[in-house]
Amino acid sequence: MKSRVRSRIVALAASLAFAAVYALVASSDPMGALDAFFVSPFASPYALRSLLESSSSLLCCALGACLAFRAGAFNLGGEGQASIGTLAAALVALACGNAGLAGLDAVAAAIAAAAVAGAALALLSSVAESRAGAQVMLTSFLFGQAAIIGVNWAVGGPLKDPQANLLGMAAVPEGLRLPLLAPPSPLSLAFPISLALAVAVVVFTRGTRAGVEQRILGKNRLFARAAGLSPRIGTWSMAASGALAGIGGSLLVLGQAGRAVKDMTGGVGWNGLAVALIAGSDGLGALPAALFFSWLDSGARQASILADLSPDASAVMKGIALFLITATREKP
Amino acid sequence: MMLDRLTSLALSSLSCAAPLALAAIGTLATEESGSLSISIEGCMIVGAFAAAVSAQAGAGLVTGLAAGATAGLGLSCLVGGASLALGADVFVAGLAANILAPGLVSVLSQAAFGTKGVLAAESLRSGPWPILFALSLLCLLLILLLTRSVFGLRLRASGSSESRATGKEIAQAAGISSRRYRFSAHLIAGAAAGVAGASLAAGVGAYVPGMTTGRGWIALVAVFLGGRRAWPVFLSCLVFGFLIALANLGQSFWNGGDGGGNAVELLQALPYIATAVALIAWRRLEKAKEERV
Repeated sequence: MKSRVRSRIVALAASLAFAAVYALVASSDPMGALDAFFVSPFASPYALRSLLESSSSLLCCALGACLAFRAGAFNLGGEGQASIGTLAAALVALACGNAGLAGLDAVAAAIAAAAVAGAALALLSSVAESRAGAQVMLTSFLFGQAAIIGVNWAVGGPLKDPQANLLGMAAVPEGLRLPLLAPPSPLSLAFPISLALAVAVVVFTRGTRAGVEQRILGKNRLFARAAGLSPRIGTWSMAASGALAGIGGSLLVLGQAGRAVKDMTGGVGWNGLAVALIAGSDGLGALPAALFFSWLDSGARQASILADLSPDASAVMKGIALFLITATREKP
Repeated sequence: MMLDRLTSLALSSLSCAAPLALAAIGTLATEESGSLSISIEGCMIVGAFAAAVSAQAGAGLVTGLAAGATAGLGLSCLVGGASLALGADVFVAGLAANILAPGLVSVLSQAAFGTKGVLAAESLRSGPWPILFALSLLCLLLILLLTRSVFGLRLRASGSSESRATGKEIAQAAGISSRRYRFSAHLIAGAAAGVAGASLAAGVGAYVPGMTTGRGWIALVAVFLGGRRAWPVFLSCLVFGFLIALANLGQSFWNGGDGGGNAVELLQALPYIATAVALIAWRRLEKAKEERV
């Protein structure tokens, strides 16, 4: 346990050191860039709240990846599952709006629709594995990419809001968005929802029989079969994984953005995968890891606005952190 | 007219298939060594970018491809080194490389050229034939290396896909350091993917962010679809190349250029769906064969 914490601290320090060196070398105003990067995401309650809001959908996708990894399924389709979630949530929210429905029930229906859509996409891979033995790692990626193309086409084409200038669907009516908790900041109900899901995942994985069975299946498939465990737990894990990614997508639509637009997920699925790996597929660890990633994103974004740096510096830092964590983990 | 269209489809199929095949054969080397690399996509990205950078200094096709190979080699060195020397999980390290690569390219591009978008590489631009010739030659050499050389045999012994434990024992008995062969496999895969990426940049005469569009992943699927044998892997890449070319052709054929939202956009999903269907069908057949035995 101690060495696990230490390896994470080393990784964190190294990725922050990269940011510092990058700011010093590439910026004409290094101090300003450092300040923008390290301080500004925490400088005001507003900044802090938008950090929390932006971590919500990432946390959901990460929790989904945790569940799949625990069951030994490499679900690489999180990005597509989140993407199809944005479409499903927007469709249901707009339909509710047309029917004159509003309030938390309707919001919940939109989120549930996203969960179902994400789960259905993930289940395709699960069935392909159980029926034909096609690797989840490959099919989940392929189905996910196809889904992203389909969603982008729908959102920018037949479902596009003709009045809007951007490639996106009509805005979700006010009453069908996640309520803001501390206006004017973007912090909404999305963050508490993702926290509640994290608690649920932790309780499931640590406190239930099915959670233990899932772990056994993930560690050793043959042993699980010999011990008479139902392979169904793997299917359910994959469905839950897709559902959580779908919910992550719905939070994007029903939260800050308020509408579904083209290329909306922007890597949240892939980042969720990385967060889950950093957290060792543990729901409890996913929260700090997701906050860390969101901090890197918002710091790099601030630094790119206030100083002349690339916002993609955060991707380099994430890669470094992931490399170091896997290279310094305790060996079995 | 019809004949023209057919020959142009055939040529563009080959042009799409060549980088896929080179990347896939490289990946096959890592799979045969028992340490599958999933960082192909990242290696292709840095390869394409490095080629465009070399073109800024006026490099031609061969230098550009070499620059791509070097960059891919560097990234795969990181993955192979982390997993073989430091004991990192090769899957996680590969994923880290795939996250790292586009970010690194964007940061470097911003720092050196003041843009994180398209980087022109006019001096690199070549017609389809020279690129096709170079990639086919490399691909053939790589296949011969894997199937007809002592090196290839030892590589397979380091991680015989039938049974890793036996493969390792055989390798140890023969006095082969499986770790060294696995590392070489990673280097080969990285260089091959780097050249593949560089050829994409050479084909359009520019580096465009996101230009690899999942080719590295499709190459990975081709390795499994080809049953981990060099020529079948090569063949499945030809099929994927044909599908991608077909999707491109359909798009340019039907798209009147009236902006987004055209149903023809959906054709882009064709290679992914066809790949998935082919993989599932092939695995199903294999499974049926195993059950009969």
